Amino acid sequence: MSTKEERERIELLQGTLDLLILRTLLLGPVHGHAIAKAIELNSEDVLQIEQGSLYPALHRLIKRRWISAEEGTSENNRRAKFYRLTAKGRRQLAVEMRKWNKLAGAIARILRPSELEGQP
Amino acid sequence: MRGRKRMLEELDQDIRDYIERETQDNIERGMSPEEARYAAMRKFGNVTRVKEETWEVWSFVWLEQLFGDMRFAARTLRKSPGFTAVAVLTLALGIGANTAIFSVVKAVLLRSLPFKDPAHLVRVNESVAKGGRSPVAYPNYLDWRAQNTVFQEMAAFGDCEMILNGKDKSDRVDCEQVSDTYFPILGVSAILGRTFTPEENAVPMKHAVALIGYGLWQRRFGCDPQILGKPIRLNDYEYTIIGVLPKGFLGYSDSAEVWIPMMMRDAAWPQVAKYDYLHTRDIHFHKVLGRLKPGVSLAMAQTQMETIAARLAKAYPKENGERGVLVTPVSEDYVRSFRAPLLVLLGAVAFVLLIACANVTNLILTRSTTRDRELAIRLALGAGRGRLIRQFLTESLLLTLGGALAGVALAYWGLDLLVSVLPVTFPSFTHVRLDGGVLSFAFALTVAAALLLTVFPVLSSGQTDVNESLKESVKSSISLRGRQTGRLLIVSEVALALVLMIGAGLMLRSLAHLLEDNPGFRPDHLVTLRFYVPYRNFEGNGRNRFGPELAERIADFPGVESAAATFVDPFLWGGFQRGFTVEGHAAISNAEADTVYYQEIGPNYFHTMGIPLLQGRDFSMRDSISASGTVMVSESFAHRYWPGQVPIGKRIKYGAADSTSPWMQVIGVAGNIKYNSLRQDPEAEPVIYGALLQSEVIINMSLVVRTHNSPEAMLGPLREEIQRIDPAIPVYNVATLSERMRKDSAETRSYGLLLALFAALALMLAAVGIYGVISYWVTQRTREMGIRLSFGARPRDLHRLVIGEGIRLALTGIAVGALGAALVTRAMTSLLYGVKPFDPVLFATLAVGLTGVVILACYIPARRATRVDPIVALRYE
Repeated sequence: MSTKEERERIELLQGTLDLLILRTLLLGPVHGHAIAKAIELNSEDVLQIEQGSLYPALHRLIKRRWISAEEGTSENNRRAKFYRLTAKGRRQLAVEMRKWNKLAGAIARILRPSELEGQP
Repeated sequence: MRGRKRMLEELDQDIRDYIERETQDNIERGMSPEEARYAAMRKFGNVTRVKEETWEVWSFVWLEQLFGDMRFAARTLRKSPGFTAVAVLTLALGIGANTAIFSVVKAVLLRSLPFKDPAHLVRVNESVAKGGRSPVAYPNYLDWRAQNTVFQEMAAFGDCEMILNGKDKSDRVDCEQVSDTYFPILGVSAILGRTFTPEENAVPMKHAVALIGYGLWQRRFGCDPQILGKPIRLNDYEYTIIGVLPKGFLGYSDSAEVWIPMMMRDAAWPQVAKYDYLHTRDIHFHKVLGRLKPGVSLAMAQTQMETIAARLAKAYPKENGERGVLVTPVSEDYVRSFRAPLLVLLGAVAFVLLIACANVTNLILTRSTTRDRELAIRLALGAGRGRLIRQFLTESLLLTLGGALAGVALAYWGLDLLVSVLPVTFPSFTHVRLDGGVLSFAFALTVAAALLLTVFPVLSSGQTDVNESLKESVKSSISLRGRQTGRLLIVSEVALALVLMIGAGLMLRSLAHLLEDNPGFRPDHLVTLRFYVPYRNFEGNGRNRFGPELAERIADFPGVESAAATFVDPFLWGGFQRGFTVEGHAAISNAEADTVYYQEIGPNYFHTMGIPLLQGRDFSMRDSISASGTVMVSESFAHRYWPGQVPIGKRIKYGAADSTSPWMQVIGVAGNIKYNSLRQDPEAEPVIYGALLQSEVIINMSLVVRTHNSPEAMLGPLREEIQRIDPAIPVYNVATLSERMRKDSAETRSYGLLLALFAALALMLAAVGIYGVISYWVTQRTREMGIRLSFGARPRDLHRLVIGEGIRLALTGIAVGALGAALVTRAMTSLLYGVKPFDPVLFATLAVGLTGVVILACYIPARRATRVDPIVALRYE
């Protein structure tokens, strides 16, 4: 299992998972397990998808037509379901990323002064 | 949703695939295949729940779940028909009572008035001291109308009885004399002909025209289409009919059938023609309506009218000095007397419903404890808390819907009964029925009750411990919270029932006071008949002798002990108020004069009524117009103005000290009586008795007749005898005095009986509910009881144990209920008579009675439990 301490892992905020899934699919269609793995690996295991939240999220995105699902064959020639970003999803990703950056920037600006205070 | 079905079908495969891959990864990390699979499963989470949550993404799921829940709930309820029947019946009583009372409330308090845009229609009264209101003097109305900018239009009218003279017989009709603006302001136009023009209301006595109501047109004129231009005789004066008003329209007074222009008043009452009401500011006779301009609020209108009234008070200090103005919504005129009792009844049935809900909650809880295992299994299988709550809610909703259906049926059948029990005469346009609004109310109640029924089961399911519940042995323990809920239910049922019982008790005690309090006269064997005195009887020397002479003739009629004339119609109309001066006493304010009633009577009145003559002498036929002015007063009048002195020989006169009225000498003092209503305090409303024989303005009069035998049997013969004496005289309002008094107390009686009915229902439900809770506890403790018994406890000790708990809870409930009642019964103050809202004796009596019922409800299950053989009890499981 994971080498990281449990406490250093961060559970994803509601809605953030959608953003991460969209971002992961930007690189090309992949199956469900690969999405989860990619998020965990790319965040160096800091982000952990909450038990059972992946599938409802995927289906929510399908319902909004931001991603689509199709049958395919995986690397070892097994049948699997692949998820693909739609054009609408691509536009949405841009929107979501702009929003996220704005939010992250704003939070950082609030937090930074206190970081300075802590320094000698 | 084309993809939806396919998506969901493939979800299983996809999840399997996911877990497969995770397992593979784990193996690669060096776990054993078994370990790897287990870790992957754990990381993925509860597959069933993930699937469920994923399905929920696809919308209609909640609806499917609802249907599923409904099916499941229906199945569960069908499996325990006893529970279902009791719950549905209990709820039916609660919801039915609420629906029935609400349909009356809606019809009476929330109905729309039969006028155009009633929201902008207001009543404008003069205000007198202490928040009192009075009709309006005509010149004041004219000034208001000319000076205000808040009303689009104003109208004035007066209502009265008139005699419709016919060839063979005369009838009494209700009439309104109205300004020409009256019909436009109400938004009513004639269905035949036209309403009045401004010219017809410009010059006194010029246009003798009349409008008739649809009912009269039908009844008296056979719907004659050629009616316009035909004559109609009212109070011996001829008018030309110029229009017929629409069906159902009875004027603002809700009883009128004839309308004449305001300027024709002198023709209607030549007797009062000498009082120049058009130019006198101290004859307050007119009712005034106003229609607010768009955007003008009631408060704005009130403010401006106050300014105008203040200006008039300054200009006419003598007449208007004490008079302000009061603008009120017209709905108040129709609603005022019904609001308090109907709201009290609505509150009472709400309490009944709460108790019903408490009972059903207890039933549900009792059942849900036995259902703990089912709930535990469902939780273990991955049901979310939300799903369980929804399941509970669906079950409750099904129960309350069943209750609502039965309840609405109950209300439907019971409504006619309810309306016939309610003694009140609602306005003619009130139709009490189960309409869409009432059904919506019933539905809202149903949903609210369902929510209420869900709260406790959900709270107590919160502590369902899956592991414990799945074990067999704990099935018979009651949880701590279950017990607390039971206690809460008992306390609230006792409290609610006590409040209702106190409410009903207060009403019934008021009724007893009304019926038992001495009215000051002997009401048995008394008959009253009202008649109209034709104008011709006022001409010449015969003036005013008509009534007293008729009384003399009736007194000789077989079966009659004595008879007298009075212009009062007992318990319907108690005379009028007029300013007066007491010799040697400071000037009497208008407000004080308004508490004194003026009544004119003929000789022998006190003897006939059975009123004691305390001092001096009665009027005789010699106290005529030619003799010097004589007057009698009530005991309370003597107390107020000549305390500790001999009133005989003192002098009073009408109007101010400098008025031209002659002084009148007091010749006698009579005992206090109630004459307006049984609720009246005669001490606070003294009477000046004038002599009919010296009167000037009498139009309608009553005879009071004391009979030897049954007064009911004399009603017909007396009426016939008067009409035999003069066929042109219409006789109406014929009744025995006892009947009048019964009618006067009828509202209190039926509100009291309805409250008592609801209180009895509440008490019954509460007793059953408490019995249910205690039975359940006792059953749960059968084993404990067995152990106690086998260790030598006497059944009596065990009874005491159970009953002790019952009494503790009852006392808590009684404390809460008494506190609640002290707060709530204040709303009933206007309905009570002779009792204070807080009546310690009543509170204590009812509390003791209620405790008795609680003890009984505890004793029966306790005795049953201790009768069980200890061996059986120990085996009981």
